[in-house]
Amino acid sequence: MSFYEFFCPVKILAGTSALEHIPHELRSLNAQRPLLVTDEGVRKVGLLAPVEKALSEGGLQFAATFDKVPPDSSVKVVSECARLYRQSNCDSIVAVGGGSVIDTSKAANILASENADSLEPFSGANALKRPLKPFFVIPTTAGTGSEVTMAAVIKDPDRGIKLPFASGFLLPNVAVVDPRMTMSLPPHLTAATAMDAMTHAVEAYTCMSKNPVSDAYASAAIRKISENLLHVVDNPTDENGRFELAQAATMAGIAFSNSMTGLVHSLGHQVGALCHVHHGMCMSLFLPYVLEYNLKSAGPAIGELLLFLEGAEVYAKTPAPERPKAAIAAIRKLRDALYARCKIPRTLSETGKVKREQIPTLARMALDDGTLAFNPEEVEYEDALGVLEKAWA
Amino acid sequence: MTLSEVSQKILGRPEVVRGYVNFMLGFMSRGIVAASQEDKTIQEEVAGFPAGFEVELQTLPDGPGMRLRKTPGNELALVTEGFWKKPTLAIQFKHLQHAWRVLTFQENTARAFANNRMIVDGEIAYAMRMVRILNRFQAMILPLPVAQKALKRVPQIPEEEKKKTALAIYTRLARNALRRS
Repeated sequence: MSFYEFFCPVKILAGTSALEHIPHELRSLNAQRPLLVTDEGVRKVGLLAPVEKALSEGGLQFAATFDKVPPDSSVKVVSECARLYRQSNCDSIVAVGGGSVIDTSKAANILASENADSLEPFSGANALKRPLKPFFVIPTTAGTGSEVTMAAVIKDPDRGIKLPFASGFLLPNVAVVDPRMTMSLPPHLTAATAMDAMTHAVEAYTCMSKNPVSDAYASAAIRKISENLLHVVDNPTDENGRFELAQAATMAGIAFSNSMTGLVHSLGHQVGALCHVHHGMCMSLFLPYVLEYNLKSAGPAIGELLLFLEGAEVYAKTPAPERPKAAIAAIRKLRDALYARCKIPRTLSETGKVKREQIPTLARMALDDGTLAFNPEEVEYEDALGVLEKAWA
Repeated sequence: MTLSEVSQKILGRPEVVRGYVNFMLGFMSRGIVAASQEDKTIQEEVAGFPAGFEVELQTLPDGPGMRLRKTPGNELALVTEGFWKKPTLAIQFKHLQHAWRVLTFQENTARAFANNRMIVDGEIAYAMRMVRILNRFQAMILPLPVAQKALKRVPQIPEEEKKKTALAIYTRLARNALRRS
């Protein structure tokens, strides 16, 4: 008999007028002076207006706004954010943005709640021992799933390290999935972030910590992305399609924060760090090659993906032994369609940013990535090298 | 009676379980020390740890456990004092029963980690390096059928190299034991 854990206490507000629920939810947590944390990009595309309007119509105002979060946040940015929280006498945090904004907000919430100046004592696994201040997240990309994950990573450039944080107390109280917030995402970012979510779901479904509850979230997320991604890339103003992708990203986030990810992430993290390729693009790039590598250990689970990727008819028509390869072929077909539409790279050479001589370094770096522990197939240096070589051409 | 039934029966006697886990962790820690003195690949891995690195494998809440320290010569040595100091890397079984399952090879380490039976506190990259050391150590000293149960996949080591290194590790283990006595 197996064993598993599953944990997700985040209240999800999803759909039409989701933003307008925020004032009530803040009040129910006894919060009335939220700090808005965001970045300049979000402000420039006008995404803050509906949030501010929803709040003011609900009788609340942001006590202060911190909009200086860079794409790759740092301990200094987090300290500035926490300082503004204290100076403005805030009592809660509302994050509006992507992964960096959300991670910065999680870390700033630690400093604000613990009344601390340094993040260091709270770094690592389960270092937080009590609940933090009320924390709301409004994602503006449909991919990272950070609105439902209990982790954050913040750079300390002076010491040349990244501080990891993992605790159930980092989870937001509320995640707001409102289709208005992802409408302005350009097609290539829509595709890349959706493939990030697709990879979260596929790895959650095929890696070692998979369990029946996370499988339910992962399979539903894969189905929603398969059915809607190309349609949304072709019709970016379709609100229903956008909403389906946003929900899928949240569901995939719940799945992978409980089941973890594997080799796609181990390799993708290194290509992102060394060659500065967008995370979602790295995920899309490696996904079929890693599934092929994992066929020996996770063949049946990969075969089941065909049902969620291609639907019941194709699944029923495909003989069981052929389903794993057919599922991988379906992912390749989706990637080809995305390449044709918005040049999402399918190989390392197509990125134009990776040099072939970097492959041995990438393989070596991948071995130190924690996600490797959850990959169903063991990975040694030669194995990582093999997958990278296949992903080159 | 099946192996699982035997295990269930023994689990009813916590003092036996504790004694076995204590013995196995003691054997493992001394074995890893010996392996780090004999095996070049393990020494290369140890070299990747920072100076003063300490790793602890502990059963919560109060042991049994073991602690190792990196030496200047890129070997690992047993730590016998200074336990008040937080180790660089702590790998903890959440319960004695979880340690029992792993150390009786009923559940491999990778599965125990995936099942959240263990906690890692410290830099993940160091934990991954330590896992590679443990994998190689187990592949060297365990008979193949046992290694296959203990590991996700037994590392490919040429038979001749494996025999030679295993003999060297066991010899060093015996020599170290004699020196202590």
